[in-house]
Amino acid sequence: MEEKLANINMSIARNAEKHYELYRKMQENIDGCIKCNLCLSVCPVFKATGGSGYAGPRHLSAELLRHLLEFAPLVYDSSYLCTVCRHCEFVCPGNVNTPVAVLFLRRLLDSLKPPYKPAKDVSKGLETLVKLGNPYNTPPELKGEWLEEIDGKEGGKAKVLGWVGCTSSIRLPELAQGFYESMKKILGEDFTVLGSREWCCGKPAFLLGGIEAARILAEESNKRIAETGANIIVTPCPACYSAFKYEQREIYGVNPPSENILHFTEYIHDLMDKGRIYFKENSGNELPRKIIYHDPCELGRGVGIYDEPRDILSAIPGIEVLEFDDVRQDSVCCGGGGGMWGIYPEISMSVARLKVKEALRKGAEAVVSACPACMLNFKYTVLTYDLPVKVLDISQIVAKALSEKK
Amino acid sequence: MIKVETEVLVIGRGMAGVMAASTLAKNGVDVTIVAKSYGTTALSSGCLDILGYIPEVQGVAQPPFSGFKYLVVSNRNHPYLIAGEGDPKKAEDIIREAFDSLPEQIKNLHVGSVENNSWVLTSFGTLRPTAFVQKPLEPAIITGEKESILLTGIKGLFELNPVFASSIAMKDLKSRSLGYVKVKPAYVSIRSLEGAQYLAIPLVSTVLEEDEEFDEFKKELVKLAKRENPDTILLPSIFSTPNLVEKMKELEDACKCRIGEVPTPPESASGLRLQRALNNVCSTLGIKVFHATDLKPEVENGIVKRIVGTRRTLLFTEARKIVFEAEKYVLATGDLIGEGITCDVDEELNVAFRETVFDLPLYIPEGPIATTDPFNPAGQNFSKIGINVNSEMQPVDSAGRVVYENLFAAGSIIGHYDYNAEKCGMGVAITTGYKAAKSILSRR
Repeated sequence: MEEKLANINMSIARNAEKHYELYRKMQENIDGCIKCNLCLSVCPVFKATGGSGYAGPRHLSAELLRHLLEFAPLVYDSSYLCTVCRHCEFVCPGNVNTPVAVLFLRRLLDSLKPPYKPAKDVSKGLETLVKLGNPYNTPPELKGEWLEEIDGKEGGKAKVLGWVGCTSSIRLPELAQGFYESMKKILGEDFTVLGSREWCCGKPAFLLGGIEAARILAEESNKRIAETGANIIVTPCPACYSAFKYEQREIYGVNPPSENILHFTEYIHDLMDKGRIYFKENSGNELPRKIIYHDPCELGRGVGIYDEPRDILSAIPGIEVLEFDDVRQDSVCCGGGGGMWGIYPEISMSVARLKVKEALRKGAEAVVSACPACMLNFKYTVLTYDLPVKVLDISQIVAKALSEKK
Repeated sequence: MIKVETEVLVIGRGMAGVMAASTLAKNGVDVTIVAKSYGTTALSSGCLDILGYIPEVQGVAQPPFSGFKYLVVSNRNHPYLIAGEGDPKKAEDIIREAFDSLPEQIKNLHVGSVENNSWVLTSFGTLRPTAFVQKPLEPAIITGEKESILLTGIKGLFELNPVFASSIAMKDLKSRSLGYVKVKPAYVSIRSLEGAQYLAIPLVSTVLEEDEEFDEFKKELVKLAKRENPDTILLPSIFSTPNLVEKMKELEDACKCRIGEVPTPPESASGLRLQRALNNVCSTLGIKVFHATDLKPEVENGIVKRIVGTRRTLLFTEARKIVFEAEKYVLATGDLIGEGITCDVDEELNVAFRETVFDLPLYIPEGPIATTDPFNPAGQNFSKIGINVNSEMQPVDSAGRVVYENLFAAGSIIGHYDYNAEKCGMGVAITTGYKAAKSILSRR
């Protein structure tokens, strides 16, 4: 056992050397930790796992990085238990950037050689991700299946490209369809999607610690986007959005496909402001009357979009928008982010369950989010625990509420 | 780059910042908050103190305002007296006015009065004076009536050690001739957490959210109540959500005694409840909160033109800038814990204090900055470090000249007081936050 630990230590030390610059910056940053435990009080995973198996932000990142070599081998599995919701970072009085430490650990661990690999084989996942262009182990040609049901068309040149994202295309056809229908209603022939040609933006690879993989994926995606000649890209997925808008340039070192990258809610909000779209006075029984809006971490804390979705929802006649106890930058993560849904779905769902229960207490008929990852997690949570609430994405609601004419 | 335009920009989202912002917003001013993160408010016990002790004369202020006659002699630069233009009567009035105009969400959370200090039993077994306690903490007030208290810890949770705390409490009570108030130690356990490697308050509170776990916990408490037959059961501060606070009544009915919390060290549920209520104040009044670090001002002709900050990114990459342009600014960044003030130590162990945003001139008390006794009743000099302000809450230099015409300050960034030794932190935050907002309103 001791020999094994020593081997792992050597391996980690070599990797740490490779990322020495980042490691040093991080150690400086971590010195801000005053051990106040505020990060634990907001960490969704720490609460959901009941304190066993996951040490929480403070211990996983701050304490660990202070003593990297002694502890890393003992906890490397649990570094994949972080949803990268960044709530801890937003409450930390000491300004410690804990999610960065988690991502750094993942990067270190990613390059470990067997048999010192984490129990969950993440690098194998990265390999298939690069090969297939999606994190769901699905053949690329099946990625456009959602279009068939609604007689949608993929490919061709258009002004605006709808970037649907892997989660919506493969796991949430209803979201993809809602997005497609709303955009088609507004733009007609000026709108297209890549369908089965759509690739991965690189974000999942980055979150799992594979920056090189992220770069390869991003380059391939951008090549395919260029084929459509679109200069505006609209996406319902906040993860893809922030990958295209920020991370490709800032982290993977790739030029983004366009300067005009918009989240679906930004796009609709803009049209609403310009008075170019209208909502039906009465959408009948198609839409739930009382909905509760969940701030996706990637959209809220990630890129600062809080008002647009709320403005859109409250502009739709007949819908009452409820709020969770903690909203906007204090919103509690649904548990589905940071690659966790793929690795530990049962923990993701037990986090989401707490949120759904709160929604039910407040009398909501539907939980509405603006992120496929949140919706996927909520959807399966509701199924698994048999909870009486609908789960919808904002694009599905907009699709139903949009009116052709004023 | 994002640009935010607003009439008033408040820097900091603790008690002082939100008090200033909410007072302004209620008067129709367009306010925006920018903050780094949570600060001392979330780490506090959530009690709203006005004045508990006068460290200079080692006296107790009961009622709070009775301490002002000593303050006038011992510390003329105390923020209360500054806010009252040096006149203790005026200071009293402004404090009353400020507490009156507290947002409803904060008022509803607390019980108490500005005219009286209650003695509250803490998780260390000490009694501490405070003007307002949160409702779940009300049973921890020692009223002087005969009662038997069961100080109940949760097995594995270090924040309250009932055996240690009750022995301290009995000594303390005896020295105040309140020996007839009995404090006994007890423990309850939370079954599903018995195997947990590390028990923390957030964990306990999440587990109790589950109905079955809560019922188990209730049964344990009922068993305890039957055996010991106390008048009051005091637990550590663990009921962190509104839902759980509601359920405390259910516990009282089942146990047929009063159930309360004691003020507990961070991260106590009561501190989080206060911060949550403040967050709630912002969202109901439509005050937008932005998060940014490394705030740097741009100044022209003695006026703050704009503040440039950095939005947080994953990994330390090229920064995303955010610019705030406002007519007036309120600095409520807190002190050393909230990082409104930082302390740099060089290789020769020389200590240099700096105000982080504007690099304002600081008041630093003479003598050693700290003593080795952490509970020194005379207080610690480092707590008193802060900026100087005039009665309009504008930062001034050592000669009393206003530094920037459109800059105001509130909360513990202001120097000349020791919130810990004087037990006056929230009171100063509320009063100075209110006064800063008033000064801005009078200039519109």
